[in-house]
Order: sequence, then structure tokens, then C-alpha cells
Amino acid sequence: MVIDWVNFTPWASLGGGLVLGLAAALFVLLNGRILGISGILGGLLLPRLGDIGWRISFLFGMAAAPTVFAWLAPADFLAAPRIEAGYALIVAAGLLVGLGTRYGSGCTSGHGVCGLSRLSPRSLVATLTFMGAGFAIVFVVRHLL
Amino acid sequence: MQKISEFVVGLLFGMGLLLSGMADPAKVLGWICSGLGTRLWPW
Repeated sequence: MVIDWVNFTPWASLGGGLVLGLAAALFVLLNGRILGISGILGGLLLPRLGDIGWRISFLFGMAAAPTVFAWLAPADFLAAPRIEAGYALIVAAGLLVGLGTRYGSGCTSGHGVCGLSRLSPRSLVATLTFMGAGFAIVFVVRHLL
Repeated sequence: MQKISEFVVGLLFGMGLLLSGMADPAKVLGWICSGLGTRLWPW
């Protein structure tokens, strides 16, 4: 078995997973909703009165995370993400992800984090599908094209 | 009060993504490749 040691960071992944799970649990407890980022963002596209403020607060919290994280983490822990694609490709990919999450009624956070932890069969199917599709696409792009 | 709690939850969620490395596309791609491609197709 070949291990990609650069990307193999089990303790950081475990810690991150715990924080994600804590956030999802708090969201359900405080808001009574499933934490799905695409749904929270999508709700702002067709806003309803009284249903906007909490969405914006949540998204501002997410946007503030890199700044707060940089204060707390060691200086070299948080490198700027590198995206090897042009703007047109990013926009096209974003549209595809948006369509997929809309048709699938959720994204990685809603289905993968919250749905699986709730033992939802629908979320299990969705997660297996989008993870399988992701593996297949990366394989084709990196090894066959 | 609810808006503050939503902000904190969003902050936690974002920090979880950063800590786990899921906010870095290169790392996510590397993880997918290490799980699938490098053993069977090492090119």
C-alpha cells in the first residue's frame, strides 16, 4: 500500500471531524435544522422574510474562520489554498456542484456529515454516489486523459 | 442571540474544515488519488 504522507494527517483530520460534528450538533440543538451549507446559501437566493439573518450570520462565521484559525494555529499550519484552474472552470464547476446539490437535496455537509450521523439511508446513498463520482472523475482526469 | 449562536456555529464549522484540510483543494485531490490511483495506476 502506498501512503501519500503529505496528505495523510490523521490527527488533524480527527480533530477537524470532531469540530465539524460539534458544529453540526450545535446547529441542530440551537436551530432545529440540519446543517447543510448549500441549503443555507441557497435560501438566500429566494429569501423569505425572517429567514435571512441567521443564514447571513452563519456564513459570516464561516468566512471569519480562516482569520480566527490563523490566530490560534501555528504559523505554518494554514497555507493559502492553491487552485489549479481558471475562473471559467471554477464557475462551471460551481454551477455543476450547485445543480448536483439541488437535485440531491443536499451536499457534503448535509448528507455526508449530518445525514450519515443520523443514519439516514438517503444520505448514505447520496454520499456514496458523490464520493464515487468524485473518485471516478479524478481518476479519469489524472490517469486516463 | 440566535444570530450570535449561528455565527459561532458557522465559525466552528469553518474551523473544522480548515483543521481537517478539507478547505484545501490540493489536499482533497491528493487524498482521493492516494486512496485510488497511486497503487494501481502509478503514472
